[in-house]
Amino acid sequence: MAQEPPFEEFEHPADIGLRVRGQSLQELFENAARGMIELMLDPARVGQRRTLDIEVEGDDPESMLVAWLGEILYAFDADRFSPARVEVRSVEGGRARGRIWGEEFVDWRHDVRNVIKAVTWHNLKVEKRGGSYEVSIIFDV
Amino acid sequence: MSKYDIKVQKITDFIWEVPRSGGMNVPARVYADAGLLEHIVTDNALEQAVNVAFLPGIVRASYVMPDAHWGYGFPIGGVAAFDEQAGGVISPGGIGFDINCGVRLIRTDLRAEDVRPHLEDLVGALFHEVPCGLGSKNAIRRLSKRDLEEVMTDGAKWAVDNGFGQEEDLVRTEAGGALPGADPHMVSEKARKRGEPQMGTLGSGNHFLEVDVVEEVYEERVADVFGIAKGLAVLQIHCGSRGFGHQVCSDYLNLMQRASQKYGIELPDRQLACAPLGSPEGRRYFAAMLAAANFAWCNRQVIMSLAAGAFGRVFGSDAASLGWRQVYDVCHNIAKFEEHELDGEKRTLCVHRKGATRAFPAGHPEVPQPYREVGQPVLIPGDMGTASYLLVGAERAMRETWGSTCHGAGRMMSRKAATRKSKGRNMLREMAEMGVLVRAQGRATLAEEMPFAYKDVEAVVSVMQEAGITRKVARLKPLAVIKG
Repeated sequence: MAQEPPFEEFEHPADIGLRVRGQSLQELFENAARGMIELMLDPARVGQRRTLDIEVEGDDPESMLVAWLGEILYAFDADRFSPARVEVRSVEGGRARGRIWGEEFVDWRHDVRNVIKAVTWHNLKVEKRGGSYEVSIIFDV
Repeated sequence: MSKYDIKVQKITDFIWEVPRSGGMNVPARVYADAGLLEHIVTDNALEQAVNVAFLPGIVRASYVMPDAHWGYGFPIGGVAAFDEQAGGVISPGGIGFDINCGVRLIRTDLRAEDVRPHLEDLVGALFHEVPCGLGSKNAIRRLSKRDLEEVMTDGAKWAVDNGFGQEEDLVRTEAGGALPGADPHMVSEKARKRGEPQMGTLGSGNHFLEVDVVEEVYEERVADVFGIAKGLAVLQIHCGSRGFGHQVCSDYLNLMQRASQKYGIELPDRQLACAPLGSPEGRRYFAAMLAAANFAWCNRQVIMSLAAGAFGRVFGSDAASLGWRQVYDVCHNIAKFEEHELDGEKRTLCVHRKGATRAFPAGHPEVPQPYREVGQPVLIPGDMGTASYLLVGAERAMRETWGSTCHGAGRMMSRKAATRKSKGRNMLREMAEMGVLVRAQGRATLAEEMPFAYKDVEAVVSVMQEAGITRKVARLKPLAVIKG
């Protein structure tokens, strides 16, 4: 169990899948964002000059997760905010709070890997196994 | 890994069925030959079509086209019609994130031999005129709030009114380039903000501009009506509603999660979240979705006009004297209210086409006047090395598939597998050896989009021909491709 990676890509014919694990919902959300960011670009090549605080609401962990990741995609597409680092402060009471660090998108430097259109709800289920959480997310690319 | 024990019965050599069982309201019906069927079954597309058959108010069948592959929620290559009177629903997942992703085909009088010597210049000019790739923007001035409102309601007409293209282009566009009923009030600030700078941009992924030569003509008379002849150079544009549409879909998927619960709709997959057609949630989504569809038509109209400029510059003449004229524009991710015959009765149904193309036959009132005698042009982009097809809608489409057919070659290999297969190879050179000049914004996209990642488009269009749904009119061979 301890060797299992916090996130790993899995194959889907047209899109991209990401399997994510975490000891808590907070860690799960953080790992999901880290995994998604690594699918988008090379975070090591992105500076941390700007921050963005994100707060989302949802009826259940799945809807909060889709909203949380969706906000990062939105910042990238609408505000050209390339993410480098992420921290989730809390996931409780139907609300998730976190912060991302990054900088304005620089095409030649940030080494874009995939252009993710959206986070899908396809077979989305946050599952609790023993003391940890796991979820598989399909991204539309 | 299937949740169900899916049994497929053969109806004809090209039609297969999963009979209704358990919670299915209708059977699932697949158009495929034996080879394509195997792929559809093994990659879970069929299971997804079975899931769609569970949705309330679906009528007759959950259809699967031969190019289908595993999507999210609905399969890509799925067609489903819902009847409001039978509690039918509308589902954002049955349309997709890229609302009104579609294809536009433009004909010219240029011949392949006129174009070949200038191909490098042409590709350079197109690449320069039409921004593509991640976060592409500023093809034209940023839309003002008012512009965007007009785009949402007027679609491609906004572009024509603002100097991008001709009135005549609208006639040769599905739905005239704008569907009525779009309501900008139903579109979020976020969607607007993403849309404002992206008008006239191609985006990325499988979207492209492609210069082709008409390699083969199968029906001279129909080709002639479409303005197509062997040896002519044509241009294809494949793209959709960009971040604007993605945001509309995301916003409403969230809303639909609650709506499904509120209306007691049990979902086999949350991506299928939906609301009854007549409910406030269903109506709001429909009005927002139409705004995104209209944005996409406007986008392709602007791109076409920018491309006309590129052609004009390279060939030293204005586009009109090059015989530049739109053949048609189809959308392949949409839901629409259409009149169809159900159990011998005329009914208005909400037809969802996700990765499927409308294919109305000769005489249908929605086929534009210039083509009504022969049927609607259907544009099927293949992979970037092999070929694309121009088809025409046939009579059986109305009787069998709600006037719908396939939409492309259909992906066969995952992006990851395609990237693995491309490792250490020079894709640009391999494409050049196939006779195709490629310019791609992103290296990753190129590897993922290589021809070997796709099914055989020839097999796909042949199934629909044998089934009597669409007929082949012409085969287009790529000369140059621009990928986002």
